[in-house]
Amino acid sequence: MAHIPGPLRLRRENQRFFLSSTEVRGTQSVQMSYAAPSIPLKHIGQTGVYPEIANGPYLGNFSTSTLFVNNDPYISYTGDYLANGYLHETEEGKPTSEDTIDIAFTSGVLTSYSFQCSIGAIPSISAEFAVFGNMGPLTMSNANSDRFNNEIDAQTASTSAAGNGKDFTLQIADPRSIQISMNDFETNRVNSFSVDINVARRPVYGLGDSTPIKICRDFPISVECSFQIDLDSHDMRSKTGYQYKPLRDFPCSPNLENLTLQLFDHNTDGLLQTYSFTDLLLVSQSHGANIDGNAVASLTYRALIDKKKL
Amino acid sequence: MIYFDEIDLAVKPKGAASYSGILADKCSLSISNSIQENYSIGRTGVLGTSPNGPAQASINFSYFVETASEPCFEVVRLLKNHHATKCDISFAGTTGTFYLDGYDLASAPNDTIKASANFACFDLITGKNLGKFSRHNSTINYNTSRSTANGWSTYLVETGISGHARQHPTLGLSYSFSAKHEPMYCIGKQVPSQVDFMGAKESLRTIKTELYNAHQSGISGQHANLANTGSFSGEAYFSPTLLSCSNGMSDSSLEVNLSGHIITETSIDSQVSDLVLTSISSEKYF
Repeated sequence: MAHIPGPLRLRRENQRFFLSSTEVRGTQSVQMSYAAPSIPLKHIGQTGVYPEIANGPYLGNFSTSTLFVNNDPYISYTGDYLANGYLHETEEGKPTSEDTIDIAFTSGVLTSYSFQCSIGAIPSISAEFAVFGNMGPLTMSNANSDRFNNEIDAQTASTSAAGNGKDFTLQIADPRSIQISMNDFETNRVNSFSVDINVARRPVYGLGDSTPIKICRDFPISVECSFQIDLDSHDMRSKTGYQYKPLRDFPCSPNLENLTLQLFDHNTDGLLQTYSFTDLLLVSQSHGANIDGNAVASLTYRALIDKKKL
Repeated sequence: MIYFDEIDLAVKPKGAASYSGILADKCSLSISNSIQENYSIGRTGVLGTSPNGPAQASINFSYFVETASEPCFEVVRLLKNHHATKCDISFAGTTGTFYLDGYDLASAPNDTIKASANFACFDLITGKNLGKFSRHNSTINYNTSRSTANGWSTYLVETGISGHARQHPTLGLSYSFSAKHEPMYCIGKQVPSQVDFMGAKESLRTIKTELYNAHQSGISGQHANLANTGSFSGEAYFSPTLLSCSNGMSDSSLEVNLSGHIITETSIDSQVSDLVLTSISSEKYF
């Protein structure tokens, strides 16, 4: 085998991702991007030089996907709470600190959240944040965040105390340990489901500052719950299972449902997380039949969260 | 045919040593004369045309403001101090002596500050190469001060209101100045013997998140000092974006004194998915 000289590539075992002070276990991918608002200055009489000038807001984006391990670290950010994110480069078992930050972002707000689960897969979460602070190998002076120091201190303290940093109590849910409470169908007919939350944000910028004065949440917040379920055979005189709804009854008799989703640890059956949504409106349903498998229905429900439902 | 980078746009206010290049993205020069058609009884069709007013020209351009080199605002500053002034403008090989008609400057959050100016010429426009566009007859330098400005570095300091800009934020600012010049013509001359500066108006429109009443007297308003008098005082500063970079750049902010402004209109606007905003217009006459 040929010897490849040079430094080793950075791999997952040497990276740790923290959202604020908490390490996110089970992270599968992290993507951070940032753009400087630069445009070339073009003018009449140009003499061959095109200087870059600033025009527009700084735009940052953070997206991640993670397995549901122990808890859901992202659902609480659907509110107005700002998040800082830190990707440290460190040897396994070594504590993190400001010096180990590879790249970090400050003042992120969650814009998109998705929880997915299907038979044969561990539940997973995807999230996207718009970043209004800074991004890069941040330090106290350029972090643009009042909480930066406290969070780094808390991370350093917890990773120092955690020994090698990779041993922790693994609590994980699998499709067998998920309970869906919904009147329209049975949990044991669900092949896959997803919960998608879109939180529209409107940054308000003032003169004299490149950071927004305020980031408004644009209500209502849309929650879409999609299910793919196996259909019961009614020829077999089965009275259970999903019955298609006449959607043209909307808006006179809308099909409204409440959903409670509970995730339990597959080892101990301890409750890990509960999601609950009320007044979900059935907005679409589709029927799929093919020669290779069961007939399936795809159902999409939507709830609109306003300030009173928070 | 030549391209935009093969011509110049430069302004030299009265008293300035040389022309300053303008970072214009658009410029338009219009030359017009007034004619009248002549008809006569006993004849079908037109007899001919004759002059019916002076030939005039106007030029307007929009451009990125260099706070350390802003010749058009220098004209505004002179007019505000009642110093009648004119300036020479060179555009695409033409030159002329112009008088300021209007000047607008707007700053919006995150955006590069742009201004536009409108000048009138009552004399003849000349050109060094008649019939061909060309550069100015000496080298014009552009962007030597590197002092373009941005909403990030625009500050409205209002008299009577203290605290950080984020406490009383300004979400937009537009400034305009219009001047009235009167050419004096005499019999026997095609061009005016003199052009008088008659008066000027300065206007400011700001977008705020608080109410400013427009009453000059009478009922009390919501915003203590300003509301009762209906007046507006302060300074607007347009600073170079690079000033905050700790690179030793000297402060060459463009400063606009707004003392003595009277609030003429306040409008409160609201629409879905947006803040409630107040637009305040104030004016001052010279």
